[in-house]
Amino acid sequence: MFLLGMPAVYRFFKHLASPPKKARKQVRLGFNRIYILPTKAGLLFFALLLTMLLISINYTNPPGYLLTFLLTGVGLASIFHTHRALFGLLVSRAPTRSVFAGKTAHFQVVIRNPDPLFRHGIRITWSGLDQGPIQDIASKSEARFSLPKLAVARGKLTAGPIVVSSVHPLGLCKAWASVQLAMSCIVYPQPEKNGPKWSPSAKVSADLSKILLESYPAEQDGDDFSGLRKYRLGDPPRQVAWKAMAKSNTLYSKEFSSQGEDTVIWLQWKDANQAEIEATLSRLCRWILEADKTGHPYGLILPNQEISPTTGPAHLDLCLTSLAVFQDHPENP
Amino acid sequence: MKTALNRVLLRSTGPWLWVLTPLFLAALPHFLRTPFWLGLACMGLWLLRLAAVDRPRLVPTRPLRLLLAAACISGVYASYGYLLGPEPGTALLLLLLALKPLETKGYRDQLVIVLLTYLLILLHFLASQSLLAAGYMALVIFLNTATMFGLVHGQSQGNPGFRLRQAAILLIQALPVMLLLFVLFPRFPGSLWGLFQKPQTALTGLSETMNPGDVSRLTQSPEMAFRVAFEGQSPPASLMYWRVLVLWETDGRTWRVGKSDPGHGLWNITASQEPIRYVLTLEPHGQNWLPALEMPLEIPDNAEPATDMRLRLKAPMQQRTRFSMASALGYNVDGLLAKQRRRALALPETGNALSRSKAETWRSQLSGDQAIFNAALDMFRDGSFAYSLTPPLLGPNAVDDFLFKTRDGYCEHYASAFTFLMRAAGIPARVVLGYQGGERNPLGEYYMIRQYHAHAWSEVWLSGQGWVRVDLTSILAPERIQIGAGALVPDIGVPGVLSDREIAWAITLWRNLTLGWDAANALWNQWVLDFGSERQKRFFQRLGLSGASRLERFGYLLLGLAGSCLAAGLIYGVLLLRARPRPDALDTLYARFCKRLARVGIVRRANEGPLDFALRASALRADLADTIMAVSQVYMRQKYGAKPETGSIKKLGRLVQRFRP
Repeated sequence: MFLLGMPAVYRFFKHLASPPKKARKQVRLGFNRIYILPTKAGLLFFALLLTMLLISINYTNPPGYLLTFLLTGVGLASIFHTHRALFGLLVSRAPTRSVFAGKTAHFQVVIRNPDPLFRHGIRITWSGLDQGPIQDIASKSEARFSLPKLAVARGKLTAGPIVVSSVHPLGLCKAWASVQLAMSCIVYPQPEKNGPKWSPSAKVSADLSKILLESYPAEQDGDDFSGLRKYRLGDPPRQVAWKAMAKSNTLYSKEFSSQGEDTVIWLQWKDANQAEIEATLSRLCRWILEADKTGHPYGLILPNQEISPTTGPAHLDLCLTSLAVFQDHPENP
Repeated sequence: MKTALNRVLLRSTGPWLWVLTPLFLAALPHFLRTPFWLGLACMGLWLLRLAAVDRPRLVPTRPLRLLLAAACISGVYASYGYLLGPEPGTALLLLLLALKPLETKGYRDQLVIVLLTYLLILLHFLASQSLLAAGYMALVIFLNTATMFGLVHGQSQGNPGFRLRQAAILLIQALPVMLLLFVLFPRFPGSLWGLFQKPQTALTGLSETMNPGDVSRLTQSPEMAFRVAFEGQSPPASLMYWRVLVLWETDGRTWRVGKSDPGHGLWNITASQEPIRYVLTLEPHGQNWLPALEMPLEIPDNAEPATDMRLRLKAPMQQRTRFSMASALGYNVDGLLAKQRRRALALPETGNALSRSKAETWRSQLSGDQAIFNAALDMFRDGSFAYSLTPPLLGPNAVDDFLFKTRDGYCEHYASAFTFLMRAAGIPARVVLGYQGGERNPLGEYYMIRQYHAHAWSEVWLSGQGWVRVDLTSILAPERIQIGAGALVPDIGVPGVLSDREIAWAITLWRNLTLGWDAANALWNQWVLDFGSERQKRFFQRLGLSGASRLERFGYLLLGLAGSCLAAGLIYGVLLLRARPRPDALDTLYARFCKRLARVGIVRRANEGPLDFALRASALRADLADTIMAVSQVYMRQKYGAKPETGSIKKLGRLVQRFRP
């Protein structure tokens, strides 16, 4: 058994020395990736074989020799079965659900078995760990494995290298392949436990909006003027709030709501602003979640980004993601 | 049946049943040898283990377990008187395997039990190397391997058929390795340390004394004494007299070997026929004698000649051994030393007066040894003597009682009486103890000589002819010589239940079965049990390798291993290449169809099934709608239909071939 194991040992050390492989979407487990070494059970089995051989020699016992050599053959054959358990598997990933910081992210690994061969006991673990989900994969089908990882901080959580392994059929040796998949997960900021509610103000200061409301009586196909927002490239000139520009030297666009009963919630960085960026993000995160619960459309204004108000899970995810990937910018007020 | 088994194995005790069943089966033959209490203790603890699966309170606490272990060790010591050695060692292992399950926590502990079960199987082979033991243990090994497979795969693979199939695959793949290693692994005579060798006691078979009734007791036993394979033509069974012991001394009732000459006296045999060559495989009997067809011409290496023309082994027989021998059936033995003559005439001072007077009458009335010899034979031929397996008991004057009162006896009575008469008449004579005949096994082309072939006869010295064999049994009961004593054992008839023909048929069947079984045993003995240092050397020599030194033999082993690893790797590689998933012809054709449509701007979306795609494509290209629908329908029917049709692939091929949008 060890004779066959030696090249694997050699490759193992070579493998350790080599730089980590580039992350990929899908990896096929071939000869160059699969390594085999005896497990503790395998070493125990080897010790048993030695004992049995010594007894057979000492008592010149031919059936004893037969038994010892039969078990040797079983051990050798199991090496090939172990290798075959992994060979040819296609390892890829599925999208991972975003989580809040402090929660556990569940990375989804999909293993496809393209062969007519049934694969037994395929285990997936993070590199360096022993425990992980274990599943059988029927012929020409696939299995989805969920690998938990604690999301400590907001941002993009990249999955480390994973290890696909199997000890099929007897647990005497373990075949494994280390795989680096291009797999990541968005970690939203941890929502603040409690704090002030967002200010009901529009995104411009109250006095300014009063002037504007006076200056722009109902117009525009009977739509109600509902507020101002920063000018965006492409806004029609007649929508530009020229009067407001005269007062503040900034370009604003007028916004109109066709349904007067709708309350638009604006969640702004400057309202939530605190000494620490992370604290600000936590507060915004809570606001977004609470706003989402009200059912009213809500928008988000960050120092370098603005998300126009609407509702729905995709919008929620967009808002939270923009918080997750928020980069502290020099022009931050 | 199958579902019932599944239900039992899927219960919470299932995993333990898997572990304990092979263990129990492996331990069972041990229990026949170990003290009674040990088997009971083991089985009790295993039952406790099974009961404790659902009732964890039943598991003994740690101090109690330690106490149990101590009790077991002292019990073994009390029963055997020592602890180091195969027998107490096995007993200790059994107890360990009985206690271990109680403290098992998980996979690691169960694995240890499974591995030690293999060791238990090996230890049984130290006690019995028979084919029966090997066959039985092969079954246990199979089960145990299935258990080992299941340990890794857990409850989800509880299906027994699945486990057994996987174990069978592994074991079959292991067979070539087993054969290769068995042939190539270097064997050396003797043991490694000579430690732990158990003292052998004398086994069954002939003993060096003969009382009336001794041989007939042996004839009840069908146990194998030895097997003989003749080179060339085998002699008729009636001429097969296997000499084993020569009895010189008597007290008028019991015959003994006596203080035979220890010298290496080479005898002088003139063979009047071609010598018969044969290979004799002797079962171990723990004594020194070696049977030989009369008269042996050559002496095997590990035997020496005794002066009375029998072979003696240099050491007591402890294991089955093969001897290459040669014998002459027609012979003339010359030269009777004075010392031997004196021994061949010695009689006790008193007793058996009637017989003595009868002999003296012959001596005074007849002239010459030959005439007396003939007269004595005539006396036995007169018809009043009977041959029986259950003769009446004889008094202190056994010869007189037999010759003049009971006249009913077995071969040893006749041999004893005739030899006594001859000695009383002054003719040198002795009793020979051995086997007569043999049972031919047509399946293996050899003869089986069993204990019930045991026989006794006389040898008489006649001047000019030398030692002459006299077997009164062949005169009085020729059928005994022709078919063997075993056939004389009365059959227990079942009148009215089975017809004679059915009984005959059953007997024939039984006979053939036993013959086949013995042939298998002979093969097992020849190819497995006898494959030792010598056989291995000869095997290498036949391959043209010298195989003389240890170094060379280890070299062959390494070469063989390296070669077979290479071969196994190659085979595995080829299998992997052949097993590579090949694209399906159906899918290839459909992919080509899609590609052609894509060329004209109709691209199949990732989430679009073949039907949706076909409808969309038909709508976009009304001119091609017929072909598109036809191709899609053939494809779908073949791919998802309940009954794939033959010839649709060809049809699809034609359609796609002609499809040029």
